[in-house]
Amino acid sequence: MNEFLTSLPLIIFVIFLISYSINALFVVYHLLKFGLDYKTKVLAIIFSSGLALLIFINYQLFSKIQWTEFIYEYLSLPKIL
Amino acid sequence: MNIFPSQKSYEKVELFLRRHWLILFFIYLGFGILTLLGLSGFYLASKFFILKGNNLNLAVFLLSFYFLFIWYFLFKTLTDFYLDTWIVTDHRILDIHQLGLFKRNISELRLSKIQDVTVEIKGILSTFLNYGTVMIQTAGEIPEFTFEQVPRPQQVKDKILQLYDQFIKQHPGDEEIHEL
Repeated sequence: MNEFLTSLPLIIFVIFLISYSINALFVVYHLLKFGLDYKTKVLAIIFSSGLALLIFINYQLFSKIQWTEFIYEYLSLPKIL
Repeated sequence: MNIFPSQKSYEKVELFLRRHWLILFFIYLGFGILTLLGLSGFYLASKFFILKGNNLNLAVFLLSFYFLFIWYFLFKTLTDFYLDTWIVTDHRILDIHQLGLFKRNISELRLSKIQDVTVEIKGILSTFLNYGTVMIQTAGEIPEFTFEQVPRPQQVKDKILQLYDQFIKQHPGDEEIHEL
């Protein structure tokens, strides 16, 4: 239970990142497949590189947070869990 | 070189249109405002709450998470903007309309089917920045083709009518069909 609770934020975050990345891939796919000029290709490159950077930053910031502290202190759960 | 996939070898692209740059400016402005909102939210949070240690980490993460969403929606909107195009060739008109990610309408009109072309410039911004809507009445399946918020609508209309005349002269067979 304890391990599950502490890893829950990471599980949620990873699931979110996967679904977000799939959506982002659809955007890139549309830009590359249906774009008729160089502007859409440039847009796809900017979007995907910016996205990769943002996901990396988000993951770094996410891993810095002590989630156990929040779970126990802010949700007022007994530490025995 | 083909500009669009179904372009014929004998076909020449005369106009390649997207919405006016002001629409793009509004998109960027909207997202600029959203970015400022996020930053000011973070600033206010740091003013009213003591942000240090784990709390600060959480606040920075939430801000960056917010930017992740903004980034996605900005590019989704830009995709809509850039994939909505109107192509006028010396033989036909193509109206490519992207609706969200998974709906895409492509309508085609032979120049001989044109019946009437109307220009609508409405509002102060449209008048000063010279953009508006060009409506093409057709004799085809789709009764009206609309070029929305395109730059220089009057010139677009003149060009379409000029291409129509040219097409009718070069393809007299189509003219007869048109008259029927």
